[in-house]
Amino acid sequence: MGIDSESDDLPLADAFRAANGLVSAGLVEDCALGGALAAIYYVEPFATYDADIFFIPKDTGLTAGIPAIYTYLQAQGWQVEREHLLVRGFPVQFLAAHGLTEEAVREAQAIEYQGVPAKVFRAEHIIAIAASVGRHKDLARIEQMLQQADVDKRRLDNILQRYNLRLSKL
Amino acid sequence: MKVEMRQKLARETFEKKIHKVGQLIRLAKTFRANEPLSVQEAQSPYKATDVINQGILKLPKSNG
Repeated sequence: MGIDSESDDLPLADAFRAANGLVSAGLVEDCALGGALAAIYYVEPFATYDADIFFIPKDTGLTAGIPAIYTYLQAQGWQVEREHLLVRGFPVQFLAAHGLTEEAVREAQAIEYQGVPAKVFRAEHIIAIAASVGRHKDLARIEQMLQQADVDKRRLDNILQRYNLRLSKL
Repeated sequence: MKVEMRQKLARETFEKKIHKVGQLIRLAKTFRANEPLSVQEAQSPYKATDVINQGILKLPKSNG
């Protein structure tokens, strides 16, 4: 897997356009970029091999509307490879948000990327989600975010408290 | 890498940083194609970022 363009630019604008298309088509309520690429919005760049787009499902059934999302994106020329959808060879995961991730989508920061309107998880939610997952790489991400991002400590504490999370392993 | 340089990188525009991620991915692919580095070495963000930012390695153009 990998980008198939001669350019080093990841097709992130295409991913944002697709996310906006899903909202416009009424397939999802809202979308935002999470995961490593969202962290990179706030910290130094590092290697990551996919993009995570979290969406708030409109379909509250077991599938969260994922089959319709795949059908829509495949009609737009996206390809499927295991759990990923590929845009120009770059893997993008569309993940149904709930609980903390749903709040992260709803409160995500509005940005513009190469002229495309988009939303990115806030730094405080990225840290809280990393704390909730708790793998080694998540703890490293928390440390990096606290060192390099402008974190609203009050907002972070509020999120951690409401979701019963701690950063004590750092 | 020095803390100041890492802070400076963190404050670059998102577009610039995403471009660097693309470079890092290609760099990792180049390393993998040339010699069998460990997964940790190939995925080490800081070493690869050092290489790109200091201009030590010119990346070859991908053929697709």
